Amino acid sequence: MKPKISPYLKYLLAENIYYIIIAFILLISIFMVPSIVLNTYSQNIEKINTIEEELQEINSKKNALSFLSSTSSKNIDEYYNIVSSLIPETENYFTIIYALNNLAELTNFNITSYSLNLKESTVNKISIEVTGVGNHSEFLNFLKEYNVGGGRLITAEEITLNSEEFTGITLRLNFYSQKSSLFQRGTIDYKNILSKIDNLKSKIKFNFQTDTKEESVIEDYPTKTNPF
Amino acid sequence: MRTNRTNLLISKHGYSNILRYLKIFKLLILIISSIILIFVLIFGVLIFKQNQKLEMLGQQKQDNLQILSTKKDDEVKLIKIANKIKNLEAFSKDDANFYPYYQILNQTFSLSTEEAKIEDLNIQKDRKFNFSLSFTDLKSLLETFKFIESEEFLKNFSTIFLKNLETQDKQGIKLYRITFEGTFKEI
Repeated sequence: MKPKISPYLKYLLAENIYYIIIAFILLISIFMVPSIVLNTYSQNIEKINTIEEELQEINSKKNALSFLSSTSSKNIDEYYNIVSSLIPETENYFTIIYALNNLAELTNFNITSYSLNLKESTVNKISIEVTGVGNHSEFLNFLKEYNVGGGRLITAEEITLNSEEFTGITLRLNFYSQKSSLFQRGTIDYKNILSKIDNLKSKIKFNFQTDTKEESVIEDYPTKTNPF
Repeated sequence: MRTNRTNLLISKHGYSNILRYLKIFKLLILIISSIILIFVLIFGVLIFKQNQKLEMLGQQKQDNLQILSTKKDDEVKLIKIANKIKNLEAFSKDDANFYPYYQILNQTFSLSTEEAKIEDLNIQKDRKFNFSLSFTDLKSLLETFKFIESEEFLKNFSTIFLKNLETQDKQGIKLYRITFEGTFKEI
């Protein structure tokens, strides 16, 4: 049996039909509008943040390049040659010996033998045991300069200084190589990078050829017929 | 004969209730519509401003990219340089950083009234160290102990403890040797 609706109720429904429709729309809006609006708002915030980061990165590059072009004494190739020399693209044993010779000349700490430590070496790292002779100040000079002074990045994981023994000092030194990548992680302050290289440059005690092409810097070293 | 009878008073009471609910219903619609409208207006303005900003930033990015595109080779070199410097910083963590720590130790001992002689010093890449000091008289040893316990000395170390104390007799001269172990604070 069909439920009976009174005529007055029908009249009221007809009279307020617009309110009922609006209420229905409002009910849907309550669930949809805030989520759509807030979603658009947060998506826009993300887009702005991303584009601002990109812009910061681009501006940093632009500023660094215009800084380089505004100073006649500095050019990008020189910076590139320095970092490529410190960490070459591929390992080259002669540059290792060349760097050690530079250090020996620079510090007077005479390196008498080198031996490759294959156990500690990896794809990007060559570990070499170096034995040298010198007095206290020469050895200290060597310890002061070895990091970049020879033109290659050198690290020593452990160093022992004994105030009485200065002959036959053995050091385990690491040399690094790494292929250049164009992958960028995060925003970089390029001017700060250049100033870091300027700082390194002051510690490197020999001249780089600034007009060489990419990679050629590791080819331009004096070679020996018998490096050992 | 059956007749349909309607109690008009009951119906009137029910209808007046419905009318009251309708009034509340309309008022609620008005309030909720106003809230939604204000919400949409506020966020509409904010989103409009965001879109304007996005457009401006996009234009700036486009302009700067255009300038950079004229120096493409230099840009590539700059990225490679930055990555090499990152590699250099990462590889440098393998280094014991001996000289700066040696200097700190030397400078600190130079503040001491008694001159302590560093006999040997070992530093590892994780800043762990051990060093030995030697003395020819007990007074100097005790003075140095006092200095080692001072804030001036301890500020350079994360941890430091006495590992060993030994005495030797070298050609009739008594030699005191103390060995410390610990970790330097990062420079």
